[in-house]
Amino acid sequence: MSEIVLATPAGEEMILNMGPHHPSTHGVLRFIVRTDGEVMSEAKPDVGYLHRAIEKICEGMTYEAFMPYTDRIDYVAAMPANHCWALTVEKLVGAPVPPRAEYLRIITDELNRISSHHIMLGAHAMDLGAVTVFPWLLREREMVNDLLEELCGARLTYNYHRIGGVAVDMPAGWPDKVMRFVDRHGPILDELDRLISGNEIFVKRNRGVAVVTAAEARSYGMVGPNARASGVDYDLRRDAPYGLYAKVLAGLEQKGTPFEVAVGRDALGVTGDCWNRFYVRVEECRQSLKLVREALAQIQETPAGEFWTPPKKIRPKGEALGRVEAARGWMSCYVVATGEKTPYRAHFRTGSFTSMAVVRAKSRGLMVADLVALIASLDVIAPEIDR
Amino acid sequence: MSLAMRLAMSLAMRLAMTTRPETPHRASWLAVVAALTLGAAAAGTAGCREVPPAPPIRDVRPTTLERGDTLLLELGGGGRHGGRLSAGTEVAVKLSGTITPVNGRPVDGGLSFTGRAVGSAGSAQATRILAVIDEPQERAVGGHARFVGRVEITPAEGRGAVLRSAPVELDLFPRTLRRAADGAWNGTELRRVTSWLGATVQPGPQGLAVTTVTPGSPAALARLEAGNVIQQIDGQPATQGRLAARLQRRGTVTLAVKPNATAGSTVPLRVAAGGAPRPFWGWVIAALILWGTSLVIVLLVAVGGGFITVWERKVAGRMQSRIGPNRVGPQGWLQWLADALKLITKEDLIPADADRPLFLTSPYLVFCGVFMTFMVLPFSQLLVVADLNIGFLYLLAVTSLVVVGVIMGGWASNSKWSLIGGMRSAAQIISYELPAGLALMVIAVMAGTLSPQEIIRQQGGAPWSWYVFHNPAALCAFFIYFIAALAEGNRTPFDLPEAESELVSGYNTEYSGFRFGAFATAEWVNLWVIGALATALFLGGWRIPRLAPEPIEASVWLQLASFAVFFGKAAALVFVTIWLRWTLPRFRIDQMMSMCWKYLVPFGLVCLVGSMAWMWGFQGHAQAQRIASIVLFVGGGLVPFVYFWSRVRYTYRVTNGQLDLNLFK
Amino acid sequence: MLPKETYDLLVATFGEIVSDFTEGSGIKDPFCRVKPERLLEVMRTLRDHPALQFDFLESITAVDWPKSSEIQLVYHLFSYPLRHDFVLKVTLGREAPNVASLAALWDSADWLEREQYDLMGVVFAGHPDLRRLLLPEDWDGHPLRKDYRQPAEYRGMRTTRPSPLDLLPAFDAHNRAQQATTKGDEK
Repeated sequence: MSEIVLATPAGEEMILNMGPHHPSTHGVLRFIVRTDGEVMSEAKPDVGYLHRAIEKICEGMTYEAFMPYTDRIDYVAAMPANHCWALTVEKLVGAPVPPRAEYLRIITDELNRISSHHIMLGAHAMDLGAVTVFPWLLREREMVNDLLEELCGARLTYNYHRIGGVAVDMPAGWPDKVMRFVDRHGPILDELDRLISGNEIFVKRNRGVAVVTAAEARSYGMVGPNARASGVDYDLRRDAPYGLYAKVLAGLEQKGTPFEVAVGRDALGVTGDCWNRFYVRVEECRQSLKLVREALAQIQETPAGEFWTPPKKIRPKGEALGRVEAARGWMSCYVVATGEKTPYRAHFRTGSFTSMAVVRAKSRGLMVADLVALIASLDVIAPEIDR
Repeated sequence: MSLAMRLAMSLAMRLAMTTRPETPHRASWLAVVAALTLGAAAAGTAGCREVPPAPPIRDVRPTTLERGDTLLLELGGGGRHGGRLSAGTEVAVKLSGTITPVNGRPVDGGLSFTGRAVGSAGSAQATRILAVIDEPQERAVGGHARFVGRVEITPAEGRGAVLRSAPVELDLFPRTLRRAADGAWNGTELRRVTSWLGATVQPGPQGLAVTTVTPGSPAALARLEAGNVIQQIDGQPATQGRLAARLQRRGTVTLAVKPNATAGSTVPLRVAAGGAPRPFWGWVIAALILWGTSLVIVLLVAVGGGFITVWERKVAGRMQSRIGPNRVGPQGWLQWLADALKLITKEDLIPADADRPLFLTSPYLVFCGVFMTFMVLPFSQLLVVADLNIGFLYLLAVTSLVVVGVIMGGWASNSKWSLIGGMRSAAQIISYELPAGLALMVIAVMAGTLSPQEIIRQQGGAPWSWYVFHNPAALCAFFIYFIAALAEGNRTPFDLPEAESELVSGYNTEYSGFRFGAFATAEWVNLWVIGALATALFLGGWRIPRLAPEPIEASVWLQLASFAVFFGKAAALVFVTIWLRWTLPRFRIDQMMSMCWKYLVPFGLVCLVGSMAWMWGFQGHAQAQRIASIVLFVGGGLVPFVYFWSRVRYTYRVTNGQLDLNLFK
Repeated sequence: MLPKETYDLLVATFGEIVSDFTEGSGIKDPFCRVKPERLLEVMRTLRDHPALQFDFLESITAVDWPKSSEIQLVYHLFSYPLRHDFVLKVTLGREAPNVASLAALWDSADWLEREQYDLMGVVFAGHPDLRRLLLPEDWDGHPLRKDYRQPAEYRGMRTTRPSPLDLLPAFDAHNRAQQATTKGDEK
């Protein structure tokens, strides 16, 4: 962090300091861009503006007390981060989770994934100049926020998951509201396609820009939608299901509307380019709607009120790695426990962290305007990188 | 604009002229091109039935005349279509038609010349007639006026049959000192000097003897009288040439004049280039009036621009499921006032490392560049500051000032983002001037003029008589113009110079307060310019369906109605630009440039040629032209609109959307 | 392939370099230990061996153990084609932890190693660009070490601030004094 640029190099190149006070770096990122006119020779990311040493903080508090801090790892999609921590500690302790809680976790995770993708899709379009997409998706996101607020009282940092369950059961009438949102949202996504995904200029701006091949994506450790846009057909929810995802997926299979992992392809864009990174997320929203619908159907069979079985004493010994499919992909949490009240060491490995590392290599030869598209399409969230 | 463009423009105009019929059988394309290259524009002789005793008139030139000028009539070679006129024959040349002072009411009138048929060397056959405007008829030409009518050649006695006649259009100007002085300098056309001065002089032994003085002329204002003898001009012996040359250089000259040939003493007289010497307070009053009127215009235009900002924000609000400004004034419609007040009262920050003078002036350049266009925008038949005959050329020229301001601001800010923004803007605006100019030439070809008012007069009120549906090339030209205008105005999808997600704010990043406000005002006013220009060029301007320009001019209410028509059309276009801005993403710089150079410019050229071909093919077939226009209106206007509307309805249905057009809540 | 089989394959190839396969009790993900000397070779085999194909370096975690004066590096590997994972541990001396960089094998190692260098002070030999990632270049110390003490100030800026609760009495007193003066003025 804080690389200080004192002089411009001799020659044709100019050094542009892009961020953190720049509209498309959103206040928390910085790029040192070497450019000759419009064409960049390199954009070096400079991160750490949001570093709060969450891993150090974790070592100073109990397992339960750390839950609100996981919200701050990815404040745009806090539910999966909650889930990741809960999952890891449950794995260490061996705590059972009631099925109702597992369904609630799936519903909240998926709703949160949708609302997180709203931000990404809107910001991507906005960074390319189509401003209207952002408020439209914010309007939809408000509905998700309202739903989650009704459930857990918070709109951004939920602190909803607990070790061994979730904090509260869903209130009466809540499933109907969720269903209403799910029914409404499908056509909205189609409208989004008509508005922006298929827009000639938008496709032109994104097609073939910063193509990351599948091999590169694996080597750079890109995960989640970014990797899938490059053609890496892997989704933890399908390939290493946690919680009751396997059951929900099986339910969808039975109904003839199977869960399909969205993978980038050579359609309007080229596999691994910015357009595919955009469209994979639109597609993921559709799939999430399916999951929410199915989980809501299945949760009706579970007894109400059984949403949390708190473990008696959380003093695990050993180590464990928990993985969830967060909004920005595969989030894994590695915890080393020594039998104390507090974790000995916890390490989070997030999607944005590795996605950001790809920017420097991929920025070579791009134009300044493409860099904006690249950053937006990678959907990097600074708190996830810096923690 | 480049020389090549000017050349092409004049060629286009010529070509438009050649499309008039000369003979029943039509010349081949080759002949048209040949005529073009020779620069010979044909004038038709449609009215003649029997073979007249003179060759046909091929050309009348020059088309801009000053008093004292010679008119030259080129005669055709006779032969099958014409008779013979032997060289040396005295003929009378009469122009009859209407003289329309620019911005004034047309008057019936004529000009008469006396001319002499002149043959080429050694030939008895006359090839041209040289004619000079007779002095007494000149009074009709008080200021700049336009003559539309016919030229007739009659025998010198003024009796007998018309030998030949042809339609002619002339621009008439009062005498200018500059050309008089040119003549004096060359020692050739002294007639111009005396014509400008308004006095005829006779060189004599004592000096120049004044024989006649025209009332109201500079000579009369200097109190010269017939019979006076001018002895010295600025202390030097009086000759005819010296007077004009001196005036041209110094503005005023002092004459030593003897009241008559026999008087013993001389009286000093001052002849001023501008006529009577103007007292100082006259200048002050004139300056105040100018200042006051320009202030009124600037304020009105700026207020209009302000309203557009509110409108844009309200439309954007509706489009984005929000409300938009609704606090200041009635439902937020005075928001622009609050914004302007805020900007004016803010500190005018100037970066320490900025190039101060350039930084300070650039907003004014942008401001002027946009506001000067309002000189020629025809809001209604009478509501126009100046109906320049080169109106659209002027428009293209002054809007280029914006580039200078933008690039200056970008450079002077000494900020990298501003610099990139300025450079992008320069590349963009200069590039897109070409397609805009080409689209304009399509209209010039069809109308044969660059005057906005004239172009509007030639269109009709109904959509199928607008130029946009005149022919397919014009329809394409309309879109080319609109796209190019968006790019020139830095509007989405061409808002790269101020792309906030890439360049922070582009060339105006470092500006604040009033100067930023000037940039912003210019940007929104420019929106209005885009709309008004496209309306005038393509959408029939202020024409009301089923009404000719004359009844509109006669009635105040119809004037207001025609203003409303113009305003409505322009506002609709402004709405479209606003709407595009809040819908489309923006291009990348290379895509934008390739779109201009690889698509719009070649396509514009194709349109130009296509429109010429159309004009040539359809001339004389009014009925076919009308049918083609209606077909185009249906195919190019109605059908797309219906399709668009059905798409909108479909989207509203599937998303349970609600149409909300009320901007007053 | 199960972790045990992976381990057996490694032992067959490298012998004593790989040791201590641990499974069960509190350990949820079985791991084995590697000696740092030949780490790069082991990793290369893990990546390239047709039966292993670990093409995804999931994470690198350094754990500080001051009691035994060592730092453990934990490598999590995953294979997309074969869908199996494996955990490796490397134990380094705490005073001068130094290990070969894996940046040549996986591009993701670049930032993952920089992060551990920044926060734990592990030096990765052969890393192309080993600078601090999250903290300022001139920051003192490596915060995730157990004996780390936060410096009181950085470039003249204090890194801590007093608790607002401690400031409350002084604040009250100030307010009271203010009120007293305004009342005095009114009289």
